[in-house]
Parts: sequence; C-alpha cells; structure tokens
Amino acid sequence: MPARLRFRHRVGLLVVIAAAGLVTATAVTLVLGRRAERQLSGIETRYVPLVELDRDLADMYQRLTRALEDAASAADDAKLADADALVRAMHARLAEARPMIQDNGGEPDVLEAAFDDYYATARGVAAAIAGGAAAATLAPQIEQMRVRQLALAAQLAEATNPDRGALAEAFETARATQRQALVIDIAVAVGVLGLMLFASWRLISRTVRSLQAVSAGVERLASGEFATEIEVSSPDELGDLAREANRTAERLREYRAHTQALLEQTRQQADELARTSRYKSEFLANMSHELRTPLNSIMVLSKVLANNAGGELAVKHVELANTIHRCGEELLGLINEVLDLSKIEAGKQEIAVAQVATADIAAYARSMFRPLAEQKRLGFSVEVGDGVPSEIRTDWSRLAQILKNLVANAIKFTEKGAVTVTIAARGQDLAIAVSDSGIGIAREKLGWIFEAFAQAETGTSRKFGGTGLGLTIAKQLAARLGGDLTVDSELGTGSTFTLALPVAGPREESEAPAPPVAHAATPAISSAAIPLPMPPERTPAEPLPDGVSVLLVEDDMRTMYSLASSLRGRKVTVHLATDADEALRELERTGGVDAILLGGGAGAAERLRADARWQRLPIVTLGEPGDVPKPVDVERLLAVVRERLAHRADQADAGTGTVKQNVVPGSAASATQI
Amino acid sequence: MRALVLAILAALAVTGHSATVKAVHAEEREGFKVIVHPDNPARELERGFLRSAFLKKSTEWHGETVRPIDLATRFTVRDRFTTDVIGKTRAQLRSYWNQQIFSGKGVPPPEGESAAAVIAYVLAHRGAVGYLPASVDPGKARVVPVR
Repeated sequence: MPARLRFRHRVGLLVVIAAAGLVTATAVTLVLGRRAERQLSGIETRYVPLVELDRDLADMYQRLTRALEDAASAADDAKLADADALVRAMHARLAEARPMIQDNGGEPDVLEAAFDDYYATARGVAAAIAGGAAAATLAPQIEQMRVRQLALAAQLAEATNPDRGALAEAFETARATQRQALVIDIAVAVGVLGLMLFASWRLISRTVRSLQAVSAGVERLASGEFATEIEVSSPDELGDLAREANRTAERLREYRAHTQALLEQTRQQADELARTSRYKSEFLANMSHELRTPLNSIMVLSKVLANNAGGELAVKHVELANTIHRCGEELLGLINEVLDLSKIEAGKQEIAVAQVATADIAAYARSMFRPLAEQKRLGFSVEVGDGVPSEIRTDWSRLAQILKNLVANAIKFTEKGAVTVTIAARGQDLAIAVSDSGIGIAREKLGWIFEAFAQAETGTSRKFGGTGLGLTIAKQLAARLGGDLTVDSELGTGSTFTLALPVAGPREESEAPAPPVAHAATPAISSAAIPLPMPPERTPAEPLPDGVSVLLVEDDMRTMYSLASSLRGRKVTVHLATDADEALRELERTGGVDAILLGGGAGAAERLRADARWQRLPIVTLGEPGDVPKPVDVERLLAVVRERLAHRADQADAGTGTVKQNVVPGSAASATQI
Repeated sequence: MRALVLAILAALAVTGHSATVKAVHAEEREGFKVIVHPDNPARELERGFLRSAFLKKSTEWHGETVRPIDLATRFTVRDRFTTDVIGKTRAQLRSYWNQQIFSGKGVPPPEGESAAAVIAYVLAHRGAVGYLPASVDPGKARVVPVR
C-alpha cells in the first residue's frame, strides 16, 4: 500500500508547521531575551554603584563647598567644624568605595591625597576670609585652591566615571542579542508563513482538482454514462471517493447489463405469450365458427320440426322441438359472446365510426326493448335530456351491442318496477344511463363485475343463465369507442349502468365508409335470450342490396342450414329446397328469386333451365367443379352473387325476361326466420 | 502683640528714612565717577554692564579682558557703588564672592588701597574699569558717564 497522505495528515502537517514556527519563535525570544536581560542587569550591577558613588561624592563635595562658603560668609571659625565633619564622612565613603574605584580604573590613594590637598587649602582660605581678610588679598591661596579643586575633580571623575567604552560595549552586546532575537523571529515567521502558504496552496489546488474530477465523474454517472472511469489522482479521501464512485459505476454497468438481459428475456417471453395468446384467440374464433355450423343445423332443423308443417307431430313433440331450438339459441348466444370477447382481446375488433343521430339511438332503444320489458310486465321509458347533442361520432353497431347488453341485463335482473334509459349530455360526452329497479349489486362486488367470467352473485348464472361475459364485452367495447362504462348500484334497490361516449368520437378512430345501420338493422327478437347479430367473421365485403332473395338447393341438410344461417346473417332472404322438384315448387310459391344457389342434386340445373320462366335466373353452383368451392366461403359466395346480379341487371335493361312471377302456393320448405 | 508689630514697623520706617536721608546726604558729600583706560573707546557705560563687569559676568569688551577694580573697603564710596551699580549690599556681595571662590568659579576683583592705586591699575590695563570718589582727580584715566 503506497504512502497515503490523507486530508487530516495534510491539515495536521499545516498545524505542525505553524506550531513548530510558533514554538521556535517563542524559544528564540525567550532564550535571547533572557540573555539580553542578563547582559543588561550585568551592566546595572556593575555601573549603578559607581553612579551612586559619583552622586554621593558630588553631593558631599557640594555640601562641603557650601559649608566652607557659609563659614567664610559668616566670619565664624566654628562653622568650619561642619566642613570638617563632611570631610570625615567623605573619607569614610571613599574608603568604602576603594575596591569599586580600583575596579573602575581609578586610584583611591591619589584621590584621597588630592582631596586632602584641596581641603587643606580651602579650609585655609575659608578661615582667612572668616577672619576678615579681603578675598582680593587671598588671590594666590584661592588660585591654589582652584588648582587643587580641579585636580580633585579630575580624580573624582576618574574614579567614578564609568568606562564608557566598556559600558557602550555592554549595551551594544545586549542590543545585538535583542536584534539577533528579532531577526531570528522574523526569519522563522517568514519561513513558516511561506511554508504554510505553499502547503495550503498545494492542498487546496490538489483538492480542488480532485474534487472537480470526482464531481465531473459523478455528474457523468448521474447522466447515465457509466463507461468512463473517474481518474483517481490523489491518494486521499477524495481518491477513495473516486474509487467508490468507480465501483458504483462498475456495479451500475453490471446491473444495467443484467437488467437489459432480463428485459430482453422478458420481451421474448412477452412476444411468445402474445403469439400464444393470438394462436389461442384464433383457435377460439375458429372453434366458435366450427361450433356454430352444426349448431345452426340443430336450430334450423329443430325449427322445421317445431313448425310441424306436415302436422304429423304431437303437441308434446313440437314443444320438445321448441325447447331444443331455444337451447340452441342460448348456446349460439354464448358462443357469439365468447367469440366477441376473444376478438376484442385479440384486438381484432374493428370499429367503424360514423355520425349517429341521438334521436335514432332513442328510437332504437324504444323499439328494441319495449316488447321485452312488456313481456315481463315492467315499465320501460327512454328519456332524452336537454342540451343533448343531435349527433355523435361513434360505431353504431357497437353502441347498439352495448345498449342491448345493458338493457337486456336490466330487464333480466328486474322482477318488478321499471327500466329507464336516460340520454344526457355530460361535458364532452354523451351519457346513456340504464337504470333498473332490480336486485342490485353489493357494493363490494361493484369492483369486479366487469371482470371476465364473473357474475355478481354466485349462483346467478344458475338462476339467470348467461356467461357473465356481457358486461366485460360492453366495458371493453366502450373503451374501444373512447368512452367508459361505469356502474352505480345498491343491493335490493337497483342498478344504474352509465355509458359515457365522447361526442367527438374515439381518439383513434378508424374511418369506415359503412353507413349507419340504425334504420336498416332492426333485428327481430324471437326470445328472451340476448340476440346479438352474427358478427362478421372477416372484414365484411360490400353488402348486397336490401331484399335480395336466393333459393338454396342443397341435398346435405347440414350444409344447407349453416349456409342459410350465414346468408340470413347478411340479410339475405333465403328459401330452401333439397332437390330440383322442391326447388321448382319453391320458385312457384315465392314467385321467383334473385338467384339460385345450387349445392347438390345433379341435373337440377337442367330441370330449372327447362322452365322458360327460370331460364334467365342466375345460378351459382357450389362445390367442385362449380363457381364457389365447398366448404363454402360466404364472402366469396356473396361476391359471386353480386357479380351475377350486376350482370343480370345489365341484361334486364335490355328488356328481356321476367324474373319475379306471381306467387304459386304450396311448397315443401319455406323461408324460415331463425 | 499688635503693639509690638506696630513698634517694629515703626522702627523699620524710621531706620529706612534715616538711611535714605543719610545716602542722599552722602551722595551730596561723596559721589563716584567711573574711570576707564584713555584708549577705551566707550563714551558712556550702562549700569547693567558695570554690574556684570564687577560681578565678573562680562569678561570682554572692545577686544580686551574686562578688568574691574574695587576701592578698598574703607572707602565709603565703595558701598555707594556696590548699592547703586551692583545692586547688592556689602554682605550680599561677600556671600556672592565666597560662593564663587569655593565653587572654584572665580575670585573678586582686586582692591585698590587708594584712589591712586586704582588710577594706576586702570592706566596699566586697557580693559580696566574702576571708580573713584567724585572729588578725586582721575588723572590720565578717562571718566565716562553712567547712564
């Protein structure tokens, strides 16, 4: 592990430098200051007594001259005693100071001799003056005194004046010491300051550089770029931070790779699931179709049986046949719902948006559901609120499907009271509310009544029948139409289902040229079951003109009835015959059709052509060889029929032949409403 | 006590008066004249100069050392000169000179035992200055008026 100069070490280094500088400066100041002080105090101990001696002697000498003066002025010899006493004191002082004087380079003996000489003369002069001698006459003595006085002064100065050179030297030494201390202090301060500045600058610049690198790196991380590593430049805490950030980036890289792998896996699984689901939906759709074909046969045959055309069956048998037919219808309804749901869930449900008049919706509801309600002796009303837009963009057939579902449900679950359809404007939506006074739905069940395969009450299906898919389909259709279906209900009081559809139409509408079917489609309702129109199995081709009638000649009953059912689903009036004789009779009875679909019965075509009335009638042959191969594709069949009809119309313009003739009564089969 | 103070004051007053009278009388009787060397260019002398010269405070004039000379103490004119020109009493002057002597600063001017001695001294020194009783003939010495 390399030497790591951490932050606290660096900052510590700074502190240590500062402390060392401070300590050094203090030590230098203390040591040299003490030395200077010692030197100064040496000067003091050496020179102060000398100064004191000087001062004492000068003072005593002053007093001596004053005493001599006084004695002279007072003309009193006695006063000289004072002077004598002073001289004695001075001698004592000098004796005491002898070593000091010698130290100072003076000569005590010479000094005392000079003093004695002076005093002898001065005392003489004073005594003379005191004795009345005129000073002028004493000039020689005075002069001598003056000379000796000067000699004494010189000796005194010699004895007490400090050695100036030595003193100056001593002072100079002390001053030098002080200067030295100052210089060292300044040097240390400057050095420490410089060192600290340098260290601080390095610390700050490195830190800032590292911080910038780390900051930039973390910013890169934050912006999702994990690939570029942060350069680890400093072996300190910031370096650790950078390393940690790099490790984090590493983990994030791994994590992202892992996540992407998972995502890819999930996507594949989702694709697979979608594919599987699509296969299932397709399988379901195909199955439904396969189921419907034989079911249609059951229904047609049971109806034929129930009609009891030959009057050969007992009443009981007719009832049984009717029961079979009703059961078949219910089964058909269920299959249709399952098919619808699978289509919606597979996203195959096409919607064709067009302008729909609100008034038509109301009219449809009235004509459609009043009979049903009256059957159960329930009140039924359709109310259109104020300010309702006159038109709404939507898919009429889907809207009708939802409405049928809701109203049929309402009637089904209501024993007494009334069912009300209310059409009102609600913001940008048109709200169609279906209220009943039925059993209602418990609050806790409101949440999942739109779930597939769920009925509000366990046992409901047993009591009321149904797949429980109706509401699910209605809800999903509402969503497809850009709206929503909501429910509000109270157990025992009734329910209100509200369909809200945007007036402006679904956001992603697929524009379809198909005209609204409001008037054209008023499907007959034959029983209490929910009569859903047969949904087109493929994209519907251009429909045939209204009221087209065909005669289906087919010896295989199953094929005959399934084809008849499909054609009736396309609003084609179908007449049935099993062979040529029957076909001729049917033509006689109905007075002619627009086209003949010839499925089986060889030679039927020749028999039909033999009659001049039917010579020009278009004949579409089914099977191999034929116009449409078996099993019959209804769309293709219709396309061929349309083509033949158009061709015939051209010929009809030429004014030849009569297609429809008067009714000839009596026939083995009849066009039956399923 | 009050009487004593008054008595002392009265005595002082009488003494002062009699002294003044006596001085006036003496001046009338015995004035002085100041003489200098005939070569001395001074035509008159200021009292202040004379004072500092006789106290040996002025040491030079006209390029010469000032050399004052007193008359002996027996001459009454000396007291008059001391009072009028030097502005000290005899005791004060003696005290002054004792101080000067014993502090080694100087000695008093020489004393002429007679007027003639003074005149001789003045004539002997170009920087000399002396005084004589007014009645005495200064001889060759030159008399200068005192302002």
